[in-house]
Amino acid sequence: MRYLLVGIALAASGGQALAAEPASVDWGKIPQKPVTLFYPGESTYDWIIGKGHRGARSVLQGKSCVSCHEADEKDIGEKVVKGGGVEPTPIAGKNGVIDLTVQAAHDAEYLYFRFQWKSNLNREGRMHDYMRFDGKTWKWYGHDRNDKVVRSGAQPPLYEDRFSIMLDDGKVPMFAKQGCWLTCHNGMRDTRNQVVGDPVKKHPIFGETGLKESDIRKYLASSRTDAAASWDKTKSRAEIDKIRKEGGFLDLMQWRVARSAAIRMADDGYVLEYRRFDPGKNPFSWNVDRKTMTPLYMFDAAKVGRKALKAEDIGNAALPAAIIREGNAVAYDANAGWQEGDILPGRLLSRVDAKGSAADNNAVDGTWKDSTYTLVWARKLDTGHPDDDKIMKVGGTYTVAFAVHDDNVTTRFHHVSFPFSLGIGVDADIKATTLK
Amino acid sequence: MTMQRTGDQAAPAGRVARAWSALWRPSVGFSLGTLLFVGFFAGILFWGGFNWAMEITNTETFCISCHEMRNNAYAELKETVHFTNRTGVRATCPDCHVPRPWHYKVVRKIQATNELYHKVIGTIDAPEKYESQRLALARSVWASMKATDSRECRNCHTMESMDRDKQVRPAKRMHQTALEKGKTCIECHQGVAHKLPKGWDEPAGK
Ligand code: HEC
Ligand code: HEC
Ligand code: HEC
Ligand code: HEC
Ligand code: HEC
Repeated sequence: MRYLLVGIALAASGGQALAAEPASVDWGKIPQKPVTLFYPGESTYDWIIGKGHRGARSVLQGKSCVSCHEADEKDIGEKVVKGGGVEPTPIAGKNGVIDLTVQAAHDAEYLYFRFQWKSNLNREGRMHDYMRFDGKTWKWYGHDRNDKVVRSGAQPPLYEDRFSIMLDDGKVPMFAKQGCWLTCHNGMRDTRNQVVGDPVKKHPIFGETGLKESDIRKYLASSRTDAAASWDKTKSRAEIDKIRKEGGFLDLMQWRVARSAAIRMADDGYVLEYRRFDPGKNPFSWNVDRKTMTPLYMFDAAKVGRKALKAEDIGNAALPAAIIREGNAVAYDANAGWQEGDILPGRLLSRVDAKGSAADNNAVDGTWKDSTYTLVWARKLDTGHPDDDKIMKVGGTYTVAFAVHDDNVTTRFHHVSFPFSLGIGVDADIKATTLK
Repeated sequence: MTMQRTGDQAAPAGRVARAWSALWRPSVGFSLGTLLFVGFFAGILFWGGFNWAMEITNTETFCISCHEMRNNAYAELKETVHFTNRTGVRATCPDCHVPRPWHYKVVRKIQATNELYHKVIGTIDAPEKYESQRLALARSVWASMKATDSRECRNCHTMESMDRDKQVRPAKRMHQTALEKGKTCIECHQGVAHKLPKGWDEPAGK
């Protein structure tokens, strides 16, 4: 009987080792650390160390942001979010800060987090990459708030909410003092000099002969050769690989309300010369052949009561927002009688298919109630993947930084924290309480 | 902020100091240095000579007559607001490093004779040597500034005279913190005038 139960549990968890249950921690007994997340605008690294920033000289000398900006989060956020200065394209009505509560605990094997914050919208941000049938073909529907089609009012704002954790073990130079600004650079998506297409495709590290990318995403200043850490001034492949082997990358994981929450997961990635997912298979993939715009799966009407959603279903918590391969999906049938206005998610989730280092965050539970997100998260101290994860130890001290993407935004339109020290059972800005 | 002008940069010693600096150029070798070293004490033997020695040795020209000071400390100072700023008041080496009341000066000068000694034996002669000594030197400056509640800084800036309402937000807030927690200028403003040495933020003794 016992074996049978274990067998069922294993099947339900997709054959992965069963994770600890973060919800079972008695969170009422764990101290709360208040953290103010603030809107950073386009305060990219080159700006931080440039003439426009009074603290530049000190930053270059290795001082921490909080040596000048202690308790300054609210003022920075509320000033920047209004536009002007480091925000050339403000989003109307956006809030400057988000109050986050952080709790942490650990046992011999796991680190547990609990986070709480308020969302701006009175619905969960779980719509993402939707496709709408226009009577003839499927077309992308909705976008993030910075997109032209949303700014112009042509399409609705539809983009998932997210919670991100950056984690370092002291091997990323300056991270403990200057946090995520070391990863945020001019040239990335949605920055002043956003680089897309040809220049990227021709670059030896990012282009056709390298990572096969066509835009620039987060990277560490330590992977570049010049002081301003320009996107194209990369160290050599060999030097970058060496930094990675020595642990000089940053762990970056995201709980995604549309792309991972429904299967109790978060993604797992790292930042070095680029922001990449860990090897293996992600919790999410495409639910569409993007060349022909043909969906791969539709909702299983027997389980969901319908094969597709409608615009008016957005925000209806009783209906699923994500297609889960092993849960509520059947293969797409082109002849199922599609009508104009039918909507299908363009992403496919699967806990069963997720594999390897990319699937390490498999015990993450989030809820949304009365505009408040509550998220609990278990992370193995030692994931067994030292090439792309930070391996933690009981008694160790690490650095963490957090970010929230709230209310249909992506890229830099998020709220971020300064870095904090995290002690696994030892004193730090955030001390993970030792569980008995 | 109210700026007070300190009196002694305008010391009428330009010509003499230039002559001295010629003597101090490293190419001259240290036999002249040694001579001067002796001369300084000879000067002290006579009251008038003492004041005279005080005046010239209190100019920046004198300080940077040594290449160690010129190539490092001075070169770095030139890149900061203390060298070029909108007020036209330029902070010179003695402004920050030599106490104003003359009895303090004597103490600093006697310590400075230690510098002459090191000059002679070449402790920080070469750039690598300077770098290797730098943390220790900086720590010694921090310790003395902390001990005097950053007296030299306060010759030009004071918490009372700084108009906090007109300061940028981080300055206003951190200066409030400084008052509440009794922190002195140098605890937050390390590196105002020079490059911070490697390891500046590690506890001493490491
Ligand atoms: C030596 C002190 C100092 C340090 C260190 C420093 N800053 Fe600043 N920063 C300032 C000052 C002063 C301003 C200007 C504030 C104003 O104009 O009111 C500023 C402005 C900013 C602004 C623009 C918003 C605003 O309030 O004007 C941002 C964003 C910012 N800093 C972020 C950072 C980050 C991130 C770091 C660490 C990587 C950092 N700063 C380190 C002193 C500093
Ligand atoms: C004879 C060449 C010479 C001259 C002139 C000179 N210095 Fe130095 N200075 C040195 C040397 C050598 C050291 C390193 C001493 C040591 O290793 O302890 C030093 C160290 C220092 C230090 C750091 C050590 C400490 O404890 O304070 C300061 C500050 C300093 N000098 C300031 C000055 C100032 C200000 C002047 C002008 C008033 C000046 N120096 C003139 C050679 C010189
Ligand atoms: C605005 C004040 C100021 C002025 C002007 C200034 N210093 Fe300094 N100096 C400091 C402080 C503060 C330190 C302690 C180290 C630090 O914080 O950078 C220091 C440290 C030093 C040191 C120790 C080595 C180091 O780099 O830390 C030397 C040598 C020195 N100063 C020489 C000079 C000389 C020579 C001049 C003139 C060219 C000068 N200083 C002008 C404030 C000043
Ligand atoms: C000879 C007078 C003088 C002395 C001594 C002096 N300063 Fe200054 N300081 C100035 C002047 C002049 C400015 C430029 C003011 C301006 O541009 O508004 C300045 C500017 C500054 C600034 C603003 C820096 C910036 O980046 O804008 C700081 C901080 C500062 N001083 C700290 C100190 C500290 C700390 C000391 C002692 C180690 C010190 N000062 C000693 C005259 C002095
Ligand atoms: C608790 C930390 C702290 C202490 C202590 C402190 N300061 Fe500051 N100070 C700051 C910060 C942060 C700024 C803003 C960033 C900058 O200009 O470096 C600042 C700015 C300044 C400025 C430039 C102001 C402006 O508006 O341009 C001066 C001058 C200054 N400080 C002098 C002093 C003096 C003199 C003392 C000692 C009497 C002192 N500070 C003590 C943190 C401190």
